[in-house]
Amino acid sequence: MSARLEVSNLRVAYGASVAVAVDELLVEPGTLVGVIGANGAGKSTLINAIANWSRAEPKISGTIRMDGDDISGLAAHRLVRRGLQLVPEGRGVFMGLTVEENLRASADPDDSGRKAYSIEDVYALFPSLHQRRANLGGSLSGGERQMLAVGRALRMAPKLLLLDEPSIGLAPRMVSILLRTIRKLVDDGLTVLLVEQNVNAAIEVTDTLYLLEYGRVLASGSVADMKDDPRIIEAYLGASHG
Amino acid sequence: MNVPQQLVNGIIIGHAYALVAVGWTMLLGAARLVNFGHGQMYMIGAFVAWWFMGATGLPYVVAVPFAVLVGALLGAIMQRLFLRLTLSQDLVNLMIVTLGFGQALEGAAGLAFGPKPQTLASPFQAMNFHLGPVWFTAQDALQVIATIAVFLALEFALNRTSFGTAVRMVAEDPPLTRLGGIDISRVYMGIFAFEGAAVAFAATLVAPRTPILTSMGFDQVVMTFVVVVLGGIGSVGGSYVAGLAIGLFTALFGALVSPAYTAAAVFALLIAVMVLRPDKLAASGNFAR
Amino acid sequence: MSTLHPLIRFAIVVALVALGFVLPRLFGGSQLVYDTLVTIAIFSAMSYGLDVILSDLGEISLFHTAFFATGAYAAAILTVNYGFNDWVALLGAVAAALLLALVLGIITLRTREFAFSLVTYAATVVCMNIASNWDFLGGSDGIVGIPPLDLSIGPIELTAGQSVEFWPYAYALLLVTLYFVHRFRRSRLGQAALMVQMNPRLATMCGLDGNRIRLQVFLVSAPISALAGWLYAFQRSYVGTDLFDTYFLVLMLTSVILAGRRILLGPLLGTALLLSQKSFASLGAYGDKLVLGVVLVAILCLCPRGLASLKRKPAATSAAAEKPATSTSTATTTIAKGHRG
Repeated sequence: MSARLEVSNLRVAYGASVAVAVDELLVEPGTLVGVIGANGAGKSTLINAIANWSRAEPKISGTIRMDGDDISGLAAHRLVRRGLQLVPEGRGVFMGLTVEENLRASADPDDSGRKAYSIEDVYALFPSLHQRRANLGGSLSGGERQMLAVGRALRMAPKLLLLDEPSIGLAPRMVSILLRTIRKLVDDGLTVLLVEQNVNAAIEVTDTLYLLEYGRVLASGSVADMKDDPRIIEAYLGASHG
Repeated sequence: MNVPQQLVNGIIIGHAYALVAVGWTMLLGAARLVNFGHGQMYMIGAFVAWWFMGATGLPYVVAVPFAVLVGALLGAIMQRLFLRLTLSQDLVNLMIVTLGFGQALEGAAGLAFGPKPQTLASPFQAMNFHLGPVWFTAQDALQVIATIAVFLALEFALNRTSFGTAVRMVAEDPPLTRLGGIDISRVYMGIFAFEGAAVAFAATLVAPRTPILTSMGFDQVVMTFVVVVLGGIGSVGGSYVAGLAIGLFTALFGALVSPAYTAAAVFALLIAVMVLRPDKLAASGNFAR
Repeated sequence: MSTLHPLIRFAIVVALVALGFVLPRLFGGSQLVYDTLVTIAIFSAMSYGLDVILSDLGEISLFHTAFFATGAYAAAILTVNYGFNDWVALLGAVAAALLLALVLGIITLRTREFAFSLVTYAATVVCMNIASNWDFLGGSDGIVGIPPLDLSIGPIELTAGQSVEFWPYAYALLLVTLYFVHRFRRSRLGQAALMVQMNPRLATMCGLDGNRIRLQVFLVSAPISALAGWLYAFQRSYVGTDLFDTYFLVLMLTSVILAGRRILLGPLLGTALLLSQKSFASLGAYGDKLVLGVVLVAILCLCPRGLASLKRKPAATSAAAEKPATSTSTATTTIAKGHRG
């Protein structure tokens, strides 16, 4: 159910400019790793590149391993079937489909031995979605859309869940609920890589942190160690002022 | 003027417009692709059916599914050629490349089938029905029924099957669809094949009415464009209603004002809509609702 | 070319112009060669109208066949129906094109890309429908009996009957068109159009009215194609609705796209290539259509930016393999308690 993620020598470029250059990033199975950094630090680019997914067309090079298997360069929909799920920033649900359709509309995972979240499981996790199940995605609130996006991802029985800024546009209470739900999933055995601009919220639920700046890893370590690092405090200040 | 007859004509013409347009509207709504080769694909559907009957001696009812199959194949070829452009959503280049594709098809058809007008002989074309002041052929009735059947089947497929959901997902957000584990190029293949099959099917049903020429592509489908835009891009139900409306308009305008200038009138109307309500051209991504 | 002394540049241009003029004779001087080169000159002049819209405005207009037809029809009507001389017909062609361009330009003012192309296409269909049915425009029979070209002014006799005699006029038209497009691209309007195309919002910040510039460029492009049509009427001595045929449209588009954008001689070379095939290596009317279609599809599928783009390889591949800049503040470090980076 959990997976180990190893990223080596990842370079992501848009045209001639290199947006991300990360030599090493590690996510141990069953942990929640956070990637934090200021606006434009390349966090989204990094996490999208790991899932080989983008709305633009960047050039990606480097090695990505999941549980030791080299998955670099595999098409996004194949990765999804193998258990690597991405909840992208912004639009993560289909506005024109109902909640129920959004949850149903995924292909079957390759390995049916993985823990699959049924639609009922998703509703149990996010009760307000159950109430709105016949409503169109476009009519949901921001928080509900995020929950639906995460629910969609869970339907594909992920081993490794990548989340890109799930807290954007959400009220603080919503953010807290969402991240605590994610933490619960990790405690139940899922592996999660979380990109977050809200450093405070990230610190509360993550095990390990990577601090990104200009597309490069500035610092990394356990949350306990990183909490007192002046650079994190600076990033925190940066985030709250940005 | 025989008003009931004009109304019946309008209904028949309208259903023909709707059926010819249905593949185009799917392609436009789901892949943002304006297929300027649509007319030539229609022409090929008619000629393939004609050739099949002549070459094998088999009847019309066997020629129709054969032509539909060839049409689907043509659509599949289009997908293989234009996938890169479709994925990068290079809309203007997609338009032009289909123009080129249409020209190539017209040239190929001319080489294969010659310049002379032919007749796609359907046994239903000769059977007439008289109901009071109106009359129509069995072919007309067949075409109307087939159109309704296709539209109902499409509504069902789009809203109640998983492939239909995948099509609606791709219409709204292709990258996000990938994250659902779906191979979107397969979905595009289905859409392109449907366009080819649907336009060929429409050709076999509508073409028996008049002689067919390899140069007829443009004339026969120029209305398609109007139907799709006025009906709302990607709206299956909308293109049915628009087809019917334009069919009735054509019949009545032709009888009351002038049959020759109908195309100009319809297109002037289209230009007015496109300029005054440009949101009509934005794909709603909201199929068939 | 821009590094050479202006006088040398001028001499080269003059030499090329002279060479171009004697080109038909160099290729054998037969009737076919003259006919082909005249047609190439006229059709490439027609394409430059589209090229201005494509390269400088960044849009695809599907109406330029109608501008071409407008010029031809104006020439026909003014000379045949009203007996005016050919210079008046020329002015009439330009005026008619400008009028149509004004109307269409205003209609399409707020449409962009996709929508713009579709509206121009619809407008072409309307014009075609009207031309086939309106007797004033000859209806489906067209207008026949256009007298041979006669541009004589006073004592200077300037007439043309056969292709050999026609060549100087077609060549002159081509040169005028090339010069016009060249000057346009260097003019304030041309530069402004480019800025609007590249970054409309930034251009507005620089005080440029995007919509007005679009309209002006559209107005500039129309007479180019119309003049080609005007001359074509005299070459064929007949105008008809076949001028609206998609064949001309596809020919124009292919020749403009073939070489790449904003290349002055691009459309000329494209047209020359395509029409030479049709004249000297024809596969029959249908075969040529097939060839044209295949060429257009191939170009757009393989190198949509034109053949010129094959020379330059994208720089992205080298950048992606770059190592990050080594400076202590960006080196990867792992923080353990008590250590500072």
